[in-house]
Amino acid sequence: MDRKALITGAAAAALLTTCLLVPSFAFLSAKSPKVVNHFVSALITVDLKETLVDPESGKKTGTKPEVYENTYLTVAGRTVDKDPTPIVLKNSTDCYIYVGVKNEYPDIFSIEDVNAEWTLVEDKDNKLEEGVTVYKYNAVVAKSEDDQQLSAVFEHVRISENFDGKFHGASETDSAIEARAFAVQSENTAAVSDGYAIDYFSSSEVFDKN
Amino acid sequence: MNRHKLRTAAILVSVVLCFFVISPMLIQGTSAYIIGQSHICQANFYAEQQESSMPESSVTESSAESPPTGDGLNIMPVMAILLCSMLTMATVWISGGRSRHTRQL
Repeated sequence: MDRKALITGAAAAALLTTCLLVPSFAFLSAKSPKVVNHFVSALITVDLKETLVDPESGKKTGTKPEVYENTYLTVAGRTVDKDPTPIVLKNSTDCYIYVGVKNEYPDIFSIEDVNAEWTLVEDKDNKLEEGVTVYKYNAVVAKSEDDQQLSAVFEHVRISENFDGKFHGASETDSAIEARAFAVQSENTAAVSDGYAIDYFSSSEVFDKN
Repeated sequence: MNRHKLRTAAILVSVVLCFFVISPMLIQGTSAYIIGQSHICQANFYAEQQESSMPESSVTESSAESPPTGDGLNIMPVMAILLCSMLTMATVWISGGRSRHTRQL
């Protein structure tokens, strides 16, 4: 009988203690509001376009960069308009912009009038294929809520006076100059971005796939 | 038996960790920078087809107007063959006529 009373008393004491302590703890403890860090993956979207050119004359007929492809009649000694222009699309993170140009016939086609905002990147370790050159936009392109059109990398391509009317490659009648823009985040990459771009453009697949 | 199950479970957990946690971390480590790339912008250069028949036709025309010495060289053997065959035919005809005349006599 005594034992039963002891158990009941102990249970009552435990219950009472719980009832007293829990609100006290609740009162004494204070929780800070939650700090939630949302990590959103950043991205860079870059486009490269040219102004439309008349194939016969090689002169611009458009007013702004809007095409991915132009066609030119190859006339020895002629200088044609070609203005590959990168456009960094809105909300892209701060970045460096590079443009790689693949010229199959450097002895026939020479790039002329490179704009002052662009600098030729030195290929110190000779990683690039013959005829591939890489240009870097001199400033960091900061994030913006609008699309940002940069200056054209260069303005003209000159056709050699020694061009004899034939290309001495896979096709005798056709050749192409291809360009592709590449962007890399500017944060923490100042020292390595050039090497990163050279590595990217040294891949043979860069100019094969679209 | 329980120990065996425990070991199997540990191995499974390790494999899952490796695939889903460590591997992505390693892969991310090699291409950690945010990059972007554009389409290829292409300039196609074409050479105007050479009018290769033009010089040939002009040569043909000029040869038709004034026979060059080269053409004479080609005609001479034909003329010689024709002359030879005519001479042979004449010889055969004359000799045949003579033998007929001798037989009549």
